[in-house]
Amino acid sequence: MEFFSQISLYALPAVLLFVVFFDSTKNVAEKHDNRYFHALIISVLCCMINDLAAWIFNGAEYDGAKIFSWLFNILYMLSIIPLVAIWLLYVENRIRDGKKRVRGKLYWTGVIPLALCAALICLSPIKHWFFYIDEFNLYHRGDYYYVPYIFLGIYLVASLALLLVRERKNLTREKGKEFWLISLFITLPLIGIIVQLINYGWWVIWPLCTISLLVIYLNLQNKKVVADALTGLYNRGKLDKFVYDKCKAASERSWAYFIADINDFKAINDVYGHTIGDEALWRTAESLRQTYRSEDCFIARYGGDEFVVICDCADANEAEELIKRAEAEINSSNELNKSPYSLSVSIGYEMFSDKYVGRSDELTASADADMYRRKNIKKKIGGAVSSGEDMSKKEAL
Amino acid sequence: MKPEIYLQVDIFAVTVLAILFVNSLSKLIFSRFSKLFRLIIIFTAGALVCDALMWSFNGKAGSSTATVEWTVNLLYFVFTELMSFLWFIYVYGKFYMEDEQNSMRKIAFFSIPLMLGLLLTLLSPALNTIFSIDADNRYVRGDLYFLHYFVLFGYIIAASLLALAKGFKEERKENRKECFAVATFAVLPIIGGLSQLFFIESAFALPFTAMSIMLSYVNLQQQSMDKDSLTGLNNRGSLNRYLSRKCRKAGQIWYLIILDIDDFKNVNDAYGHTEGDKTLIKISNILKKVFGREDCFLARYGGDEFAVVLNGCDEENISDIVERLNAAVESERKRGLHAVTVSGGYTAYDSDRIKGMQQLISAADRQMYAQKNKRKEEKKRQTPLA
Repeated sequence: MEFFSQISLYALPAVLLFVVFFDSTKNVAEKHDNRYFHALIISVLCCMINDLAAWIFNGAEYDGAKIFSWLFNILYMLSIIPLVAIWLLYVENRIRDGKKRVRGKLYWTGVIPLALCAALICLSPIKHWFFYIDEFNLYHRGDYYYVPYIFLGIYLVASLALLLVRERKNLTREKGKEFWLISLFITLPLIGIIVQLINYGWWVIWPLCTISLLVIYLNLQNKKVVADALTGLYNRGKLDKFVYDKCKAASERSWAYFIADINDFKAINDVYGHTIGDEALWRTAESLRQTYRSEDCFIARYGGDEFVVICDCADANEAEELIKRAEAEINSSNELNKSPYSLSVSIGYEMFSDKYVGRSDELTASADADMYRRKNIKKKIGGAVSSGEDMSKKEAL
Repeated sequence: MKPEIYLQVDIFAVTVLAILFVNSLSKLIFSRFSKLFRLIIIFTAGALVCDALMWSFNGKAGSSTATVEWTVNLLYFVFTELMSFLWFIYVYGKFYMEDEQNSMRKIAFFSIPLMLGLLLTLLSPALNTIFSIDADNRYVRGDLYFLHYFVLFGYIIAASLLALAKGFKEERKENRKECFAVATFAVLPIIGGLSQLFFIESAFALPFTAMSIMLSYVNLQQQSMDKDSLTGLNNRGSLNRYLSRKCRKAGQIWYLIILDIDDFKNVNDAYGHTEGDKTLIKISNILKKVFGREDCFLARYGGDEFAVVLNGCDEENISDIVERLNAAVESERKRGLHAVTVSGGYTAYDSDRIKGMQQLISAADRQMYAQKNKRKEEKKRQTPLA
């Protein structure tokens, strides 16, 4: 009977996990994130399967049933340990964005408590601390049945806290948000543990774990919906929505709409091919990210070689200052990368004022016009040595 | 099974639906279909809540319990019937609705079984048609219980059949896939429903339906993620995924075409971005028209570049298609498209010669630029003459 109850309880979470798993494999291009996420799904499924298997043999009276009872109950408790480890690795991977790190001493000392916990669980047939199987092959909780759960729960929370302390400095605002979201949803299974320990009839740990994974998965998907595939900045769709919302009402803090356009991008593409063209886009995005990092800025790729930045900005002086900084950043990127072409951008802007309330397209058009005005001035100054002609000369040679 | 098990299953399903609902509010691209989809989520969740209440009150003593039981059961049947009807309309609208006027009449026609089902349900307190609550406050199936199932599964199965029929008629592989994905919605509710019909003990029909909804939500989100919002073509991310999948399979012959709008920058600079966007939309519509009948994958590659993956054609065919494309652009240009021409280059995928996606794109790219330069030369030669 217990077995059938359990099957009914785990059927839905299992179906859901399968759906999420196969859906996430469709995105072959998403490299690093997926590996840990898949491992996470598989380990939750393992926990549920071991739990079910343990119940199949519970109370069965045929030969050997008892051995399986012991085996699967131990396996079940053991399978929680890799889950905790993978969850931690996943969080670390996400806040570091897949960048490799040197794994120090602290890292390996972290394995010791987990190994100790596993060893204690394996001792169950001798010392009935956590659980035991009686002569009728029935499962009973031991005197200290709560210890492994509580221990693993504390371990998880403590490791997350450590991770946060260590990575705090490198955490951007966005990554910080992500960290809190993932951590928040780790508390769900923790609540599940407490409920399940107090109330025997509620098997909620794994369903709650599944819900956590679902939320994390949807969050991952949401990010992709609004991201530009090449540069990782926000895409056009998200930009339109953001500007529209921001222009709905007059705002107390003054802000500006910047539009940046790569000079002679077409020439770069034509001469060096799309691969190099992509690199130019990527470098521009990176420079913009560097320039507008500290401020609460919204950066998006507007179209082919145009980018838009929206950020708080007191007045025209500050706006000009920001533009200069962005241009300097791109210059230093040129020196750093030693690329065959010289990357430069024209940036125009428009301050938001009351006349643009509800007229986001007019704001965009003004910023655009400002950008073209500056671009033309640049071209006149550049005169005969504009990089476009330069390149076609090279081509002719 | 113990009521607390039902309770737990229901709570899980409702939580999942609630998460989807909240997510869809801010993340699903707005359309009348996403509104309909949210309604389906609400009705399913409502039915699940009623189901949970039903199990917790079933057989409990007290006169007020009977009232609660009656209301909760009534709501349960109404919600499930509405849910299945809306799903049918959702699928119908997605694949078959073209003109608003006519379809409203059709929807009214389709709602006849729903009206009958609702009528029978609402008659239950008087005539015990679908269900009744006995003296011990227990739920009992009525004589016409099966009719409720007819309505419920009638709509769900009909919706799947509609999607299947559309799928078999569809020529483009992508669209076909989408139709079949929608058609599979029925599988889980049917499994759950059958188990519920034969063992009154199990109550999986509704929770399994919730999982089906979750499946189609994920599909819907995936689709909006793969599309370029301006042109409705596939975006670059989905092109990359498609190509990397395709490059791993050896043996087939297919072509990658890269198209680039000549002097697009000039259109943007001279007429502004809005006109530039319009031009992009026009060009992508031409692509849809020209390549619509082929087995192909259309994508917007970058600002003014498009990529087409063509399956099952040969060298002769492809130059023919490129000719057709140029002719279509030319005729559109005469109808007021800003002075625009398109250069295209193509490359056959040959797993012996080309290793991986990057090489393939570069090769097609080179072809495209060669074409572009040739065209520029021609122009230069023509201008002094004129």
